[in-house]
This record gives sequence, C-alpha cells and structure tokens, in this order.
Amino acid sequence: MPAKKLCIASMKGGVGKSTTAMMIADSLAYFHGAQVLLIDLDPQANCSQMLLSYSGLKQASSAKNTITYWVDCLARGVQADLFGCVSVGVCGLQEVRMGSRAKSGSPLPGQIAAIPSTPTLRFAEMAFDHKHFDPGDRARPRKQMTEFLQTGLRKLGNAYDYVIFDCPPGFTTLAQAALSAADGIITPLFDDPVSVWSLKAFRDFGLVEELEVWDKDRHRVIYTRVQEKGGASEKITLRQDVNLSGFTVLKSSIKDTVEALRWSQRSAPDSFKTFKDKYGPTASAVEQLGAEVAAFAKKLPEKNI
Amino acid sequence: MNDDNHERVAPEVALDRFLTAIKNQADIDPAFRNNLLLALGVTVVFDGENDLANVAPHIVAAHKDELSFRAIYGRLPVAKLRSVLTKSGLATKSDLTGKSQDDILDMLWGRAVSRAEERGLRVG
Repeated sequence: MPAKKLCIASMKGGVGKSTTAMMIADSLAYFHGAQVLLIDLDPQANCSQMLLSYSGLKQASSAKNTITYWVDCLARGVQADLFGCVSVGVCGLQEVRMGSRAKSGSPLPGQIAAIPSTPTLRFAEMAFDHKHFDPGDRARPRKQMTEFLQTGLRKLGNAYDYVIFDCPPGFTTLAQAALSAADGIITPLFDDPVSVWSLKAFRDFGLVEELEVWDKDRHRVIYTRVQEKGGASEKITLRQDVNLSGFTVLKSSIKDTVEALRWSQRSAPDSFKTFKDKYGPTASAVEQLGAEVAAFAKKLPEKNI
Repeated sequence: MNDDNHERVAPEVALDRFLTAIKNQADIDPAFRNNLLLALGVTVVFDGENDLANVAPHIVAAHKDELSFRAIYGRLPVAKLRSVLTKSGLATKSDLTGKSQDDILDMLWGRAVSRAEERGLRVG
C-alpha cells in the first residue's frame, strides 16, 4: 500500500506543528510498528533538530540529505532524487532502537526516517519560485513543485506507511505542494480567539479558495499547549465555535508542559530515551494521539496523484 | 521614604548595594561565581577550578580548550559525571548504560561542544 500522506499545517506559527509532527511520528513508530517518513518543510528546522539532534542535522546537511538540497537542485534545473535525501533510523526512542515489538501487535518494530530542512530552505524555495514565475499564472510555482513532489513520493513506493509533512506557518510553495499532495491535514490549535480566527483563514482563504483542496473528512484539528487554568467559559465558547464552523477536532489534546519542550530535544544522534522519559506527563496523550491519527489515516480515501 | 513607599538613595549607593548583592551571592554559590568569571571573557586564574564542574558544561566548553575541560571534569567521580550529563540534558540514563569513565568524559566533551555551537557560544 502506498503511504498515507499527512500534513501538519496551519496559518499561525508557534502552535506546536513541529512538536505535534514529532509526537505523531514517535507514536506511530513505537505503538503501531509503522515505517514513518517525516519531511520537514519548515526553514526553522525545529523538527529536524529535535529528531536528528544539532550535530545529526549538521551531518545530514553535509551529506546533502536535506529538503533544502532537493529544492536547490530543482531551482538550478538539476535532477534530484527525493529518496536520496532521506536519513534513515532517526528515531530517538530507546524502545524503537532496541527493536521492541510494537504494542499494536505489529510483527516488526517501527522506524522513523526523515528528510530534514535547514534555515536556508526558504532561499532555495525563492530561487525555485523565480525560475518558475509566470506573470499570467501565479499558481505556476506551486503546480511545478507539486508535480516534483508527487513524482518523488511515487518513487518512494511502498517503503513507508506514513509520510508526514511538517509545514511552516502559512503557504510557502513547498507547503502548498504538500497540502495539494496530502491525503489528510492536521492543524494544531490554541484555544484562543486569534488562533481560531487563523484556523478559519487557513481553511477559507488557503485550502478552499486558493488551493481548492479542503475536504472536511480529510482535515482534523488538535488542541495543543492546552492550559487548564483561566478563561474556562471563554474557551468552551471558542471550542464550540470551532465545531460549529465545520471543523472536526481530535479527542486527544496536548497539555502545555515545560518538560515536554525542554526534554524533547535530542543531544546527539547516539542519544536515546524511553517514550515515557521523552514525553513525561504527556506520554499517554501522545500515545492516544498516535492511535487517533492511525484511525483517521486508515479512513482517508486514497488521493489520485 | 517617599510617597510611593520607595526609598530614595544616591546612584552610587544603589550601585554599591547592587554589586554587594552580586558579590555576596558569588561568595556562597560557586557556580554563579564561575559563571561571572567566565562571562568576563578574559583568562582568569583563580583557585578552586574544580568548582567549574558546577557550571553548565556547554558554557565551560565555550571558554576552555579540550585539555582544560577534561582536567576539570576528569577529577569528578563517575557518579557525579553521570549526574552532570543527565541534569544538563546532555545525556539520558540509557546513553550512559555500560559506559566507562573515559567513555563518559568523551561523551561530555563532544556533546558540550555541540551544544555550545548550537547556542552560538562556540564556532564549529
């Protein structure tokens, strides 16, 4: 079966896209024995660094195993193989490293591979946009990028169960291509008025109007960095508004914990920690998130690319 | 005291109090004292370099060469070394399983340098 392609995307920055992407990848690999390919499309490279570690990302960058290199080749008109940019075995979970049998009963332990990004990605993208600029068709760079991405994904064949795109905020060319190619979209969200407005703008102006890819059944929202104290009645109203405006919200939510952010970073490529140590008080929520995402992905009809 | 309940003091008195508070804290807190000394950015020779082991390792790595770094941390017992690595988030318990003191010291140096580079304290 071809991989299910999921975009972790939103208009707003700082809502936990990278952390959510990493949590989903870890949970699917560990609990469901899944082969996961995580593609970081964000020049902030937070997800890349959290997964590979700072020095691991430097090594990947030196070996040209980055999405930046791939886009840079495309911008220069050089043939580039997406598969060749993959770093394998980047999961920092001790259980996965030890080959623990997945809890789902999958006969094989899962794994995570990654195509990391670097801070120069946006500049490579701009060169790509320039190359494919068409004054009569502003969507041309996106269409070209989507075609390249789909070709690259097809070549990955059945090697992965899931391809997860960690998108940057808003609609960069790569993000547009990933959203166009994805089977499903997951949007992390804070329960505050600005974030809710941003969610609606993301769907209405981006996914519906511009990209024409929105489908209620292919889009899920997850509340992240949830704070239990303060503004309870306002939050209830906001959450009702989200439901009433046509979004489907996952039951899982990720609480705001200092530990999760502080310890989620990996200190070296040969550093490993247990799932429980990595996620601390959020461990059960992360496990539940993986289960929900697996169920969501299973129901997604295959997109004809 | 003025109307706002704030004491009015001369600038030099205020500065003196501020510096005294820092000095007093430095006297009782070796890690704080050594952080101050490292922050001076010059070569400072002082007694008790062992205390540098209480400073975050990546800060020491940013200011010391490998030999000095190893001399500082090499004096520590293995249990303390392990504690330095785990408390600073440079290693997990799993990373340290079955490692000798030399292995741990290598790990500490390598990862402290990497973090110093990551945080922009040292050029890679």
